[in-house]
Amino acid sequence: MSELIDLAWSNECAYVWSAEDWLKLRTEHRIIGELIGCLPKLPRQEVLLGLPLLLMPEEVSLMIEKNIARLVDYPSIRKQPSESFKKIFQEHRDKLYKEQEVCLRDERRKQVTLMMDKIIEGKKRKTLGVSTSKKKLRKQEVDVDTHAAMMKINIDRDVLLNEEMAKLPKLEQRDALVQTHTAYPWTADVEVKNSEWKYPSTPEEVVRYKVYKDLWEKEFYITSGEKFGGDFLAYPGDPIMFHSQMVITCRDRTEEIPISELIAHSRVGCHVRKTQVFATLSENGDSVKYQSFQWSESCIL
Amino acid sequence: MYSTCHPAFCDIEKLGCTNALQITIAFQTYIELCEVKRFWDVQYKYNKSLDLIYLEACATKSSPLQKYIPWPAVNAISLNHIEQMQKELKSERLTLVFVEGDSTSIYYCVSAGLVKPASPEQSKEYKKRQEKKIELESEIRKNASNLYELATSVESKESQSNPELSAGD
Repeated sequence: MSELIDLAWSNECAYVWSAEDWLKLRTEHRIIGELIGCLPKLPRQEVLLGLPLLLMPEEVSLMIEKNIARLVDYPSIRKQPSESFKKIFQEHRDKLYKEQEVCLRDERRKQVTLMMDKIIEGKKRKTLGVSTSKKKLRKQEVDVDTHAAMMKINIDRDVLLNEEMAKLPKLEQRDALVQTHTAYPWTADVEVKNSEWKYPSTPEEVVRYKVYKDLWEKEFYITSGEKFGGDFLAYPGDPIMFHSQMVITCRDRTEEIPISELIAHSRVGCHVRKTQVFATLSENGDSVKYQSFQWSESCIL
Repeated sequence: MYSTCHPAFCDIEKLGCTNALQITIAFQTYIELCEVKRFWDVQYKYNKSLDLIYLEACATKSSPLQKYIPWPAVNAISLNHIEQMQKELKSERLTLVFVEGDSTSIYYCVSAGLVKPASPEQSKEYKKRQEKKIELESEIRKNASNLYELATSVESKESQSNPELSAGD
């Protein structure tokens, strides 16, 4: 039995904040949800979105029922940080800053060492009064005398390295990089809230949930169907690689559907190469029944 | 009123349906299937427990029999009722013909279960066939006057050789 995935509960919605969990849900459990966050590296656009992943209520209920995930709450996140916690945070920042300073010096040392031959040659040319410009350096080969003179000049590599390193100013606090956390590093108090998850509660929600579950069990990938005026969209494979094949609309079996509405739904579906499916529960409520609508005159049919 | 004196209308009226609107739209759909769509073996039937007139027809000479349900567009429909019709008429697949007040009719096929849409290849094939059909029909229309002349010339020749036949017309 693999470990349960934690779904963060806030404001009556469930979110996934971990990239590993997101991938696992998608590839292993066909749970798609909807990414709603801003990508740290691509802000100011809304084509590609990042974590957190907002889950549909049906997905949450299904995962709890199938023992894939649990709903958790972190009360500490809602509280004002305490003084001791602020200290922990500040220490974490200071530690990162110090590490960056060390890292910066190391990198610089590596760079200077790699360039050392060139630097020394440039120094020698300078002392002899030979042009040091890069363009001329390539074109104009030094003559034998100058070359011999250059060989005589002795420059201490270590001294030069230290000189170069001294030129590097100390890393200012404001220039340091700030870490973007991809997970909250200090969660201490996890409260499991599975029992407080009340979806589905109304009869409409029950139909929606049963339809979702039935389609999920039929191995479909399911997303919300708002885009095409339905409740769900059913994909034969991962939505990133497949088009959806069906627009699912859930209805009570006794509900009188106006013909104009029926036609509007079905016609839209037909024009985007999807079948409009109306889903409802069977008379005893045990199973799910589907009715597929297709426009007969369609050349897509 | 043309419809009232059509023999099919009288027949449909006699099937036992009590709903006048049902009878009118069933007749209209019948005529449309026969004359506009030129379907084969169009028949009207009546189901007593549903109090419903429905039609049976084949789209081509060899295609399977399909059931057509004329349905007034002003009446809403429930999924329960659709299921009942499928059960009563013993067919998982029905074509609902929604007839509007201005006699517009729209055909929607409803099938029990999940039906996947046609693949791009299938629809391409279908489109190609439809285009061929349209092309042929337009050819016939273009040559209608020639065909007419040809037909009359044959007729006049026949009448010359067989004067009794033309006299009978």
